[in-house]
Amino acid sequence: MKKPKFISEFADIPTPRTKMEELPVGEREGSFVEVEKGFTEEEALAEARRCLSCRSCIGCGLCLAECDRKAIVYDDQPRTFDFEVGAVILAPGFETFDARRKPEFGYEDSPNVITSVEMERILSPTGPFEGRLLRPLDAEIPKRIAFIQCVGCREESTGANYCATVCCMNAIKQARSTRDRIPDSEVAVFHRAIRPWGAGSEKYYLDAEEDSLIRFVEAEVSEVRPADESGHLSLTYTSGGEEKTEEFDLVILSVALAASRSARTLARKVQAKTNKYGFCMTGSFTPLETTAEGIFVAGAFSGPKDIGASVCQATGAAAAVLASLGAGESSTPETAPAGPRTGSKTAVLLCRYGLKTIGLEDLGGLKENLSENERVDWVTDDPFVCRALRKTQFKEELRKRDIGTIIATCCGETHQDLFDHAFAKDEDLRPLVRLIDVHSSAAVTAGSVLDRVDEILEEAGRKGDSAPARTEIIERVAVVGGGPAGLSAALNLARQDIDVDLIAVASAVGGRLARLQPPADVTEAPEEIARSYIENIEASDRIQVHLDTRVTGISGQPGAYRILGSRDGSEVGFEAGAVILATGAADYEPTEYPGDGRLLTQSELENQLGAGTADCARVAMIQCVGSRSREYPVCSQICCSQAIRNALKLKAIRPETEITVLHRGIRVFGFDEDLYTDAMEAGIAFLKIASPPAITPGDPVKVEFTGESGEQRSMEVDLVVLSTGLRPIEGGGGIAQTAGINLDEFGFFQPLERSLHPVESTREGIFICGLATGPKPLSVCIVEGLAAAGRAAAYLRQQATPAAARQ
Amino acid sequence: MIQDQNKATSETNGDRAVLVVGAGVAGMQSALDLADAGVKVYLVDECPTIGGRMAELERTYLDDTPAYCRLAPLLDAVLEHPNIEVISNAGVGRIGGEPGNFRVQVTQGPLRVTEDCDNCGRCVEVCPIKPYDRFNEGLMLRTAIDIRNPHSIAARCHIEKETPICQETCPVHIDIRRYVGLVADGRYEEALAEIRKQNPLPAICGRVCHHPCEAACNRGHQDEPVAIDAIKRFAADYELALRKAGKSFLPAVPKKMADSRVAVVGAGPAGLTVAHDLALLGHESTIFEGAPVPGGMLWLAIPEYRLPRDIIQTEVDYIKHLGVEIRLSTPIGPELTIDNLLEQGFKAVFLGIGAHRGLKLRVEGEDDFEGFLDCIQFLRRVNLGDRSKPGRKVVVIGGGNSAIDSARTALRVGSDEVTILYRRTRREMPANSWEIDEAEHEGVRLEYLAAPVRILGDSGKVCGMVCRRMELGKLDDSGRRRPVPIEGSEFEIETDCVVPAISQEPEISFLHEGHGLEISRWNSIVINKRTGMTNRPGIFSGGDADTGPATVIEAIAAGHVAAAGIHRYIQDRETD
Repeated sequence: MKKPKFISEFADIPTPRTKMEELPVGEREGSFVEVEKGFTEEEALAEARRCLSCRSCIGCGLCLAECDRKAIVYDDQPRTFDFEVGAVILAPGFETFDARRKPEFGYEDSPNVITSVEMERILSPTGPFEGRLLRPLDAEIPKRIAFIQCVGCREESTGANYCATVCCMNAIKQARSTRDRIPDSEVAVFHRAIRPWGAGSEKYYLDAEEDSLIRFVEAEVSEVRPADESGHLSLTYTSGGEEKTEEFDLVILSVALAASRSARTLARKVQAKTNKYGFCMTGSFTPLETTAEGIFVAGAFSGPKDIGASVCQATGAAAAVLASLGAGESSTPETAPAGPRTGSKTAVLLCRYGLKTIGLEDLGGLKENLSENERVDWVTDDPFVCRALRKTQFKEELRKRDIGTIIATCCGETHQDLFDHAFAKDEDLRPLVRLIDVHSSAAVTAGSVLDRVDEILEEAGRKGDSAPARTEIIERVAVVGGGPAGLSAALNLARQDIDVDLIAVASAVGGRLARLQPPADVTEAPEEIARSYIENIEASDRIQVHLDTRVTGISGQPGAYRILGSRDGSEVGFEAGAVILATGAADYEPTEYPGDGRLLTQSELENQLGAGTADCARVAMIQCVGSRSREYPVCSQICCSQAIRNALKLKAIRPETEITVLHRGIRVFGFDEDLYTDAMEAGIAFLKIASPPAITPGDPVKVEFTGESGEQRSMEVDLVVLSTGLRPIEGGGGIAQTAGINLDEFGFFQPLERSLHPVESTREGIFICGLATGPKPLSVCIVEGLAAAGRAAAYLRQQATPAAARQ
Repeated sequence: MIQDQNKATSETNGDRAVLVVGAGVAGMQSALDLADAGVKVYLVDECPTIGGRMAELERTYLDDTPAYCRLAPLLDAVLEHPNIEVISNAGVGRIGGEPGNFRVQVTQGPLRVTEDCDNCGRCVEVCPIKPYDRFNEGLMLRTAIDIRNPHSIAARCHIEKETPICQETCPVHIDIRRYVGLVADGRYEEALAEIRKQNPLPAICGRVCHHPCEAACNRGHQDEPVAIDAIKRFAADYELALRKAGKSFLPAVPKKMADSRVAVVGAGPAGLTVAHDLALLGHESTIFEGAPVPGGMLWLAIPEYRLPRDIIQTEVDYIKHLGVEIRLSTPIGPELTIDNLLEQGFKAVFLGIGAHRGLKLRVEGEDDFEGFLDCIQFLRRVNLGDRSKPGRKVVVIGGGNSAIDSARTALRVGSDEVTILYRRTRREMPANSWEIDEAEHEGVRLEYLAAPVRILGDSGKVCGMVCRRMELGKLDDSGRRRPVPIEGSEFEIETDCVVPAISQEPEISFLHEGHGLEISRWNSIVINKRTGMTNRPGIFSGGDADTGPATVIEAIAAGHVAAAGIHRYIQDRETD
């Protein structure tokens, strides 16, 4: 909690702080008389009374008197637990930057300046305004809303020169929510480069940009202060060299993610090192391991990241721990066996929370309409249906009403398990539960809920509820792809004692590892890492490597897939219970520029740097070649960091080299921000361009472009380096089609759901990871490989366990 | 399942168990993956409920679905998983052992609501306390019963009745809410008694404490913190006035045990506290003080306009009244060594020698000219009665409280112009902000982002100083911005007296050869922080002698630790 401010209903807080009388300044010279006079009795009494509102339990006993179960113990004492563990996973999360440390943004001066976390609570149906977007000062509807990005990061002065990575996407989300809720609102996002993070993010950003009432303003905000008594705010900023002032009703500070103090203390206790910003240190190739052996890390403590990335790390860390613990007895206890279905009546449960999130607040009409359906016997609602089903009282009600079929509004197919498990312990209550996903399409209305109820009842009437028979499970995993994601997946599975077929299209494993230059902050060379992967794979008797094999399709069914491929013109096939697709991505081959020896891609430059042949006086780097266009609205996420690393290496070889990076907003994430700062300090020029430059080959090469403010410019250089980004692989469509999994709109494999199921494909038993699901840094590919291995291993375990004992 | 207070933790062999710290979305996912694979998981979180930051979110981006609806399956799965033991409202205390076999100790704070709770919610209806709802970022109020997000109730709620933040922040943990409450009720003497339980120098601290409690005070969220320190001063002064008027009396002198004499070296706040506590525990103690006055830095460094001498004297008299002997002008040195004290029959020795040696500036010309006066020497001189002015134009170098004290004192003894030179900005100044305000108020000039380069002299005397402008540069490894000199920004200041107030270290030259004490590279005495004992059995230390220059209240805290350590040491020796 940072600012409890709009609450002014404290009648018991009488006075401001009592000022103490002091010796007048004029009488102080030459005098050692005490300056502070102390309080008089009246002053002391008044001041002491200010403390009485300290808001914490005073043990008055009122609640205990009211509590039938006498479940309250006022003098409850701390308890200590001692136990032994084989490994530790640190997942302590993050804290947000304290907005009071940037007084210029007026956080303490106005209730209408809020943080992005406060904004989340305001938007939430369980928040202070029950989900209505109102100003904290007076609960008025705000019309002009501003977001200020990078509050507490990307600057040395706050001690946090890193990019907090998730704030841009979060602000875009909040901006879109704002526009949804208040149709005539105008939103301005003041930023220092919008950096959408993650697969699909660029499109999300472009969609927001197309809304004419959302403005993205590249600017430095210097001040936010109350404009008048009525809570309006005046925001001063500099954009394009011009200072401007605008008025807003609500200002949201996008506060950075920071390492929490308790997390740092924890790291010290386990002797895991933290970096200068307090985040847990990890290696680029071991992103889930701390510097202390046996201690793993997952989530935002190793650097700011979003939910999907945190979940990947969590599953990856669990997989790494399982591999490190070695095989052991499984101790999953059995649950009650599945009994026959009970009950004959049908109930419809409406989730107030879920329906509220799609704008359905008044359920009266809907309930009435549902009651009129003669096949529906009972209609009821609850704040949270998923919780209601677990309550004893509610179950009693179901028994009493002889309910056999439950149709519940909820969100997402991934919740079916939740409802099935709700009755796992009840032998006499086995209703069939069917869900209506209120988030499956953007426009769900009361009418469509009615229609779905009808459909479900039709279906239920036509067929029984018997589950399809399962085939014999094949206890092997096929890993397709020999790059970092595939290799880490295969190795982890082998260490978990699972047999693996590793299928790679190349004639050696290693993928991108084999040709990357080591990142500036890494001591190990990627080739060495690749070699150690290969050695480990060769040493493992659980991994069979199949090189030069192109996978063309997947047939079969969950638990018994058949991977089809070709090698040397002949067809090959592999059987597997689960499949991990780590097929990588393709480098974009630029067609927009003439072939010329003075034109290189970043990868080609890296090869030259590796060979020691890169040496020239004037270099231009062009970012986003073939990316972030209308045809291909994808940001490759890694090219800005890659370009800056290469530029710094060129500078290291020859400090007088003139390097200009022509970009469309530099997007470096996390701790790579330091590289960007270093690059600027090293004299590397960054020029923002409005459209792709034109290149005339020759000696020197001529580069012509339009600058940020529309001016035509040209420069002559000895070398042009193109940051070409990544594209989906050819043949991904074929695999997807035969396997029955979805591709996203750009051609990458699509996760089942991006936050909690990031490595599951849309089909059971097929997992996807690495660049095959979209551009991302190497360390994230490794994490995703581990996560996919973890989920695949869990899938095999789950399938091998009798259904009744599944937990 | 949430850890049940009545249920013993089930026995596991450690190699198939894993500790997961943090029950946010990442921690919960790890725990579930491990538990599904048959591994026993201890899921520890500092929050009373699980769900972490994701529970606060309204929706997730890209797929735009409600964050809670995504989280709900995880919450339930975690709480119901037989292999997962959730220990909420808890922290990892100790962790030892090695990979494959870590030994972990976890401490769970009191929840005050037992497993019998069925979440009926009637307590919430009757609770009269209305704290800010932290889960909702303080945008609304809740009750003392913290149910956090109503939909992320993890099995049961939790009543918030923690140690008040002010008490927790205070180095000696005075029950502040209680004594302030007593003052508000007009029960001043009871209030003072409450203060005295933890603080033997209430009138002194009421004036000069840096009061971190006020910085932490919850009321500061509303408008301004409660003036806790001034209330303490009022209670102390009130009693003093009563005593002067003959309406209040000193407490009865505690009985002393036979043959348990302790020698305390130094009558500063640490030494006075040790003697005070020991007296109450029944030990006789003698304080050896080198200076002609008691109080240590309280008397020698803090100027009288902040802390009148009769206040120090009264508080010292109170301690003397408890049966403590104070020998002034009795330095420990070659004539009287620590070993002599032990030979004289003292059972233990406490070295509360403070940190009185000023550090050098290490700039060119520092040792060449007259007109240099370390802040500690300067303040000591004035405080012992020499009110001559140190110079006409004084430059104090440094940003701590001693720098401010020196500057304000210099103005009082007649210097025409006083400037404080500090190499960072006001924001980084370690001095109390209210002291800086007062100094400016009185006419002290503050020169930020500047550091001395060279001292200029004329006929053997300081006549000026070359300084250089600084800027705050990149973060150093500690995460603080380092002052970096700006090339070519040299400028001159005219001065006839330079007062370095950089920092101090303990003056340990009085120790005789072969004293055998472990000394750190900062010349401080190395002690066991839990007992206050040095590497030599029976010899204790604490306060500035251990930490370098710090605050009065921290010295008192160290005194308490050492007194308890000495008491245990003497008792253990008797039983042997």
